[in-house]
Amino acid sequence: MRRAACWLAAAALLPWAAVAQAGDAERGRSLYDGRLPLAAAQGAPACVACHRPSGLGNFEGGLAVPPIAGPTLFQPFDRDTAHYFAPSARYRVRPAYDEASLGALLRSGVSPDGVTLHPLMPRYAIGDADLADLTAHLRLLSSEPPPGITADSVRVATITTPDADPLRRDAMLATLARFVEQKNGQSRHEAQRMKQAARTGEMAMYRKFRVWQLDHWALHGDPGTWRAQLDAWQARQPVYAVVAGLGGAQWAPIDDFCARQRLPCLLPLVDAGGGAAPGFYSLHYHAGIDLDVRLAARVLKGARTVELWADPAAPALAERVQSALTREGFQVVGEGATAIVSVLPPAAHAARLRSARPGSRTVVAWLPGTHALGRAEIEATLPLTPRGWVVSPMRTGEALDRQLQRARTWLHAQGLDDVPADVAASTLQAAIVLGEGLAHQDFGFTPEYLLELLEHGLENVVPWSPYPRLAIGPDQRIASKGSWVGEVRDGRVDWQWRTAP
Amino acid sequence: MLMALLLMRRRSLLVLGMGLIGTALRPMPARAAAAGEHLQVFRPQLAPLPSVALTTMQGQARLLDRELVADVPLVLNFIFTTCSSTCSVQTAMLAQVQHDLAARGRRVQLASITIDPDNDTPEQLRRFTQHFSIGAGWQFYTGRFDDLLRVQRHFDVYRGSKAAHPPVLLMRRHARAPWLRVEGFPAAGELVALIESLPAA
Repeated sequence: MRRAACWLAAAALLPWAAVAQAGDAERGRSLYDGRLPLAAAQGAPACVACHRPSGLGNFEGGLAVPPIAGPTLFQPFDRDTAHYFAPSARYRVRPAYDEASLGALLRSGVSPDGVTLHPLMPRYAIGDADLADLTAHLRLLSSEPPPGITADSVRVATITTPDADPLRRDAMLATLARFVEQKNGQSRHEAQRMKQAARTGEMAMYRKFRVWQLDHWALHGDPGTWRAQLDAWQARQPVYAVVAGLGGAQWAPIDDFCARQRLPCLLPLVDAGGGAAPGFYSLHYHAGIDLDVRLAARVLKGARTVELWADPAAPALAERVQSALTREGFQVVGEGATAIVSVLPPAAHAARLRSARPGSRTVVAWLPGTHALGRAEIEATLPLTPRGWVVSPMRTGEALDRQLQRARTWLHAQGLDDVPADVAASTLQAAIVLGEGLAHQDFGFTPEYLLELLEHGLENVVPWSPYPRLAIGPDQRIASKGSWVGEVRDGRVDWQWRTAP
Repeated sequence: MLMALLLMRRRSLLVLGMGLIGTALRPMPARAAAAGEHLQVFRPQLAPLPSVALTTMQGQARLLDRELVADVPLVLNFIFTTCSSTCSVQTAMLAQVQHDLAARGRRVQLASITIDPDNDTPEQLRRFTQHFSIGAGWQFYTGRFDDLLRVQRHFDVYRGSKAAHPPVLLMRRHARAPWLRVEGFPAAGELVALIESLPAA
């Protein structure tokens, strides 16, 4: 463990990082990713499928795929590096690979010390030019120390847009600030312990106790300028990851920033814009109100025209819902429609129900989106709804209240009783997930490896969040994949979980 | 929560280690021999099939205990469509087995049940199957999360997360015959041999 302390520093200094590249690393990346075919038996996948974007390997379905990125492949496994593996592997010693032995392995399946690899590792009839390019790419893969992280500290940012709800924004910021304060309070002077461990030879698990530094990047002005603002912040004081964030109508520029800068962005409070997951680096908890509109459309089949109730202070949301409804074949009209679609927050929705008094011939579909519906919100609205539906991406009613009890207890202990528990719960969940991921990066700290760990680990982290069953996977970046659809009759509601149609 | 992740990582490292040791100590040149060494075959003690609602990849409603009762040999496995390696490997191998058995005029029923139903909608399952050459008599199923959890527990393949699912095949000669459980990655030829020698009682 002690030697692991030198890992980040060593990654930058090892001689192979400075070796002049014979092959074309960029072309090698295409071979690795499968954008260019690697000559192989029919149907053999590209390297990335099993060894993953980080090249640091994978464990899935009982199959262990070893790391092949430069820092592991082109170094010997000896008794100094064996600590990266479980005790049972301590004495697996092999020489370092070079281009020739890598070529021999890919063609024959035999490693430089004569070990035949598992039959699930394909054999590739790779040519010399492709081999040189692939080798060049592997030497670089996961070899650069990522920004924003050292042996002792990690810097993270949270991002808000100018149109973020101020109450929710402040709740998120207060939760994060207190989480980081607590996290750092646990550090127990680990830097000092490391120095002592170096002298005495005792074991020190320093990585569990990095000091966190939290930046708040408050975007301002027109969304067209956000890209430059974000890039400037990252250039001035780089961060390792983005933890939580709050926005309004647009989040795509931030997702784009996460992808360009290769930053893991854990986003429990901003939806994914309704479409597919926006890339490898952004992890959203929910697809968004567009999914809820699609789910509502399935139960409003009889209605051709709908009336939209939306907050005039949030025109972008109304516009987004209106175009989603149009895509589903509805005509959005003023009054007189047979169905009402409401995206109002709970208090405004209840007030509107009281003034409009919809009769039993009008179906009211309420899509509260990111507004959590506890028992109080349900009881304030449903008796005013003779017939209708509620579509909520979060747990609702007593199930929600129970789920948020953990966060309420935490908030109370912090003296933050005024902070909405649903915002705090999701924020804490993302921060805890990031901390857990950081603590388990055995082979390296590249952002890709962190996300790959979360592909495995997210579903095992104790759920604080009001969203049910958080889980991602390779090619999955939306953690909760459906919403609760509740049918309202005579003030009672019957909930069914529905995934994307 | 810390323990959950810790356990996950320990488990993964342990198995990684075992894999490395295994290959280091026992060089295995032939593909079939290598696969055979990794294979465990035994008769599991299973209760009668529960009546669980499933949805086919065409979106039709089915019941587990009515679906897996053909009079031809059955091979059942568990997959998820965004699995990075093993599910595709197993599916490709089963496609080969189906093809080989058909070439000999043998019938077989194949059933693949997703362990990630929130993501694996019928449409997503159909997309997954397009990567393979899949013949008639092979259905892919999804369903409600809790229902499929019950199915996984029935067959003892639930390991806490989708990535940790074990590579398992469950087979029987017909609806009244005993189940055979195969753990590991058999080659297509090995599995064909196992299917042809399935016990009748």
